[in-house]
Amino acid sequence: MTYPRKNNISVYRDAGTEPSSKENLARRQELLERITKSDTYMPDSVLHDDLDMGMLEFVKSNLKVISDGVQIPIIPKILTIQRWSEISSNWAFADEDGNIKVPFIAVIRKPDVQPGTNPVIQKTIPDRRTFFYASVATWNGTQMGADIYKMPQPVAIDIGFEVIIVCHKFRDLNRFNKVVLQKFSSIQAYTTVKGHYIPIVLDRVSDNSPIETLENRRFYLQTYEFTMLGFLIDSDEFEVKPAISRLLLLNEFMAIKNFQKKFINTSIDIKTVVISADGTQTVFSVGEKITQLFLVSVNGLVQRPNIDYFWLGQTSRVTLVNAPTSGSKIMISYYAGRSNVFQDAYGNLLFFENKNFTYNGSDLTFDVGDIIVSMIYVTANGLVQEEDIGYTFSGSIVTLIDSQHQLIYDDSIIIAYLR
Amino acid sequence: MGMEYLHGDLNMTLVLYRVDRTKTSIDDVYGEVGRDEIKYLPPIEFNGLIKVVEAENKAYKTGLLRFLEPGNMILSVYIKHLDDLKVDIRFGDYIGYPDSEKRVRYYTVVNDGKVTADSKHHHFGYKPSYRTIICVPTQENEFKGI
Repeated sequence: MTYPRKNNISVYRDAGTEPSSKENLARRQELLERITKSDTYMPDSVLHDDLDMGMLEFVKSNLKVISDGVQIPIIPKILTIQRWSEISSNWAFADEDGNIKVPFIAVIRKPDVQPGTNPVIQKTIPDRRTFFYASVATWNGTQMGADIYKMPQPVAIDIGFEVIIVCHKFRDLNRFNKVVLQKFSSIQAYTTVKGHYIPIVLDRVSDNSPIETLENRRFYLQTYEFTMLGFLIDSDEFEVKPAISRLLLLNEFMAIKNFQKKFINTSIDIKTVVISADGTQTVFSVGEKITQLFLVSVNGLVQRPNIDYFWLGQTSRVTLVNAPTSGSKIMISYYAGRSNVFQDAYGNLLFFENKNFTYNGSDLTFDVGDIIVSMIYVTANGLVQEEDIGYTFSGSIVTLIDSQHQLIYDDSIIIAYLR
Repeated sequence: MGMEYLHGDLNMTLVLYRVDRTKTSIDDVYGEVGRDEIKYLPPIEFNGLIKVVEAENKAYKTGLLRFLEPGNMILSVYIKHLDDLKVDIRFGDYIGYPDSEKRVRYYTVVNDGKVTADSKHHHFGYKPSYRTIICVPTQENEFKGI
């Protein structure tokens, strides 16, 4: 199965607003990049051979021993029973008879891989159920959408390894032992497999030196037994599904004779709060949750959302980009209901409208085309108008009052109301 | 007569590399010697009757890391011959045996056969006439000639 190539994966970008969700964000993103190096959105597969290679690399990098100025060679392959392969793996270290020259270090993997004991990924979820990993935006040419990437819990496995050293000198044994025990002074060390940190535990050290026979070749042979607390991630088990796979629309119709009108005792709760600025303050709170923000003005001048001010949905605070001068009047018009649905005292739905008009130079009446239930605001050239001073309304007609003849041809009039 | 046959007709010639135990410096704790730091007396050619045991297929660990080396070399040498050469063969000395025209195999002495108080080594029950020396093969990392 192939997956779309990533271009800018950032799982943690929209992690949330809680401070804890932002902790170590850069490091988490870096780790994410490491495990998705193959350029797909999903982590790369981690299988047995990857873990074996991780152990081999660990030994080659961390368990080097210098004896008499020369590094004791480490056979760079996991040894298997395939005869010609074993010999080909060894021949760089072999003598004229094809025997490996002593001293040397070799890594042997135990063939039996056991169920994992890594406490981080205990086997807790049955049936290979898949879980959300990331959502990725898609574009099919006409519609935007999203794909949901899912994967099952990684499978914990324990792999046993034996690292053996064969040498002739006691000092070489000491050196190797020192290197290993220093590395495992905290019981476990880590190797990196495709970006994942995999712990390795030192189980025990045993001596198998054939030194009891006098009339045979003698050498030291010690075995260090390790357990790798690994896990398997198989890309064949990944799932990619559209975020919405099926849309079901239900319409409910009620027969008239059975209909009983129900009165809902609620009222439209559109509020206007005026706050005086102290010259330094930029954050202004209305003291309650704003469900829908209609208007923010400073001294009657309408402020532009996301340019002059910012408001985070469902919060009570409006943040101005620049602090208004001392004594300025900040007016905030908002709706504080429990949802975005407006209803009158009888439960009838009301709708928010926002209409733009252009002054033609002579006619100060504007027909919005709907019966205005509640006026929210009227602005002329970005200045908020006060009811009965700057405008009046009746039915669907709004009449501006231009007593000082400030309006000129082509001025912009905005009328926001509920119908 | 035996010496004439061995040294004349058979002429099995070997090279003895004696470890110079006075000039070779060893470490204080284990008495080990570093790589290529063993000092040798001048090599000496000598004659002996040789028997090399058949090679045996072995492995270092659980069937892996096999190796196939010659078996031990059992060497019989006349005591008088060594006396004539004014040399002794001691435990830990190295002996080179020309396996073919192109290759010399090296062995190290694991039994110098100095104790000859047995009927086998006595000449007509009178006094010992030869020594039986047992050597095991070495790898070139350990010894490869001087």
